[in-house]
Amino acid sequence: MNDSKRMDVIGLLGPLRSYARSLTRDETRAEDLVQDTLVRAYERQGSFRSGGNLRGWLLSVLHNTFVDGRRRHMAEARRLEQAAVVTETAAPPAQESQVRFQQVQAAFLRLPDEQRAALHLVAIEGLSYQEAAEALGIPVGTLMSRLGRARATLRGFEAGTHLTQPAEDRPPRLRIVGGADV
Amino acid sequence: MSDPITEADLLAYVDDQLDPARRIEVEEHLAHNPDAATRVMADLKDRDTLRLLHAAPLPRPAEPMLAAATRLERALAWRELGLKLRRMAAVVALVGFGWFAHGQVGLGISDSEASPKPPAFVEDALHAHETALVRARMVSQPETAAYDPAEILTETGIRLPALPEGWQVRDAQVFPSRDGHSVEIAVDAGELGRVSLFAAYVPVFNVIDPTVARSGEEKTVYWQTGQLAYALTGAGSDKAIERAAVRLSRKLQ
Repeated sequence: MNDSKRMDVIGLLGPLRSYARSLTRDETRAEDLVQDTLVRAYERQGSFRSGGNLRGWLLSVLHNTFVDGRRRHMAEARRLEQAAVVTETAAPPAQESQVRFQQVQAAFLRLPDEQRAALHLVAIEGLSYQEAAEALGIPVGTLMSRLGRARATLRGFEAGTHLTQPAEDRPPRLRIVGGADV
Repeated sequence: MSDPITEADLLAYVDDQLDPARRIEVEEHLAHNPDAATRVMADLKDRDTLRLLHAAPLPRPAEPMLAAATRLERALAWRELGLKLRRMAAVVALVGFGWFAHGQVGLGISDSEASPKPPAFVEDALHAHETALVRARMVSQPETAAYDPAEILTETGIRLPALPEGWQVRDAQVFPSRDGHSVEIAVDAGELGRVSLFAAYVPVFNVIDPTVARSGEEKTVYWQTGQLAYALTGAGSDKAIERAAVRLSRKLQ
C-alpha cells in the first residue's frame, strides 16, 4: 500500500513554506502562515477529496489562510517597501548575474499579491494552469491574465533598471523590446 | 495552416503547458518573429531565475510545524483507510446479496449447456470459484492461506479431503449457502493450475460418482456422498481434473 506515501504532508512542507515566503515576503510570517495552514487543514480535512491532489489542496488552504490573515492586518504597504529596501541593500556588489538575480527577486516581491501568487504557483511550483486556478479559486482565464501582467511587469522592471544602470555588456536592443511591451 | 498563435499560446509556451505539436507551432512562429522571440526568451529567463532563487533548501522546519504536519498526515491516512474499508464492506454486501439473489431466483449457467443437468450446488461451486479468482486479483482482499480441515469440520460439519502433495492452498473461505455453510478452497494444484475445491451441505441425501459439467472455459467435476456435495473446478483438461476429483473422492471414504 502506498497510502503513507500519498499522504506525505511532511514532504510537502518545502513547497508550502516556499509559497508562504512568496506570499508574505517575510520569513517569520511565512512560517506562521504554514503553521496556521496545517492547523486549518486538520480542522477541514473533510474538504479533501479522497484520491485528490494533496499538494493542490494544501496550497489552496494556505492561500485562503493567507487571504484571511491579510484582511485582518493591512500593514501591507509598509512591508512592501521594507522588502524592496532589504533586497536592494542586501545585494552584494557581485557579478552581473548576481545583481540581476536580486533585481528579479525585488521585482517579483513588488508584484501585487494576486499576481505574485499566480506566478509562484505556475513558474516556481510548476502547477498546471488548471491546478493553480483551483488552488487560487479563480477561473483559468483570470489566472492567465494575472500571469501575463506579472510577466510584463518583470520584463519592464528589468528593462527599466538597466536604463538607470551602467550596463556594460548588455546589447541595448533588449531594453527597447522589453520596454515597448509594458 | 494551423491556428494563429495567440498571447495565451506564448504564455503557455513559457509555462510549459502546451502539447508537443503546439510547441512546435509556437517555435515556428517565434522563428519568424524576432520581437516575440526576444520577449519569450526574457520571460523564460525570468522564470528560470525565480526557480533558481527559490530552489535554495530551507532550514529544517521547527518542531511545532513537524508535529502539526504529522498530525495532519495521520488524520488523512486514517480517512483514506476508512473510505477503503467502507468500499470493502460494500463489496462484501454485494457478494452476499448475489448469493442470496441467486438462491432465490436461480441465476447462473444456462440449463442447455450441461447434460445431465448438474445439481444446484454445482452452480454454487462455479460462483465460488469465480469469487476466488476475483479475490486473488484484488489487492485489498487478502487471501487466507491458513487451511485447517479439522477446524472447518468442527465449525461447519463439512469434511474435507487431505490434499495431494504439492497442492498449495492459496485461500480458504466459508460462504453462506442454500442449506447451511459451504467451503471454498483455492488451490495451486501443480500442472492443473489454479483450481477450487468447493464443499457444501445439501438437503437431499444422494451418492453421485464424479461427473463432469462444463461452463465456458471452466470444468467442474462434482460428486456427492450422503449430504455432503463436492465440486472441483478449474481450467485444466477434462481428464486431469476428473482424475484429481476421483482421487479426492476416494480419500473421503
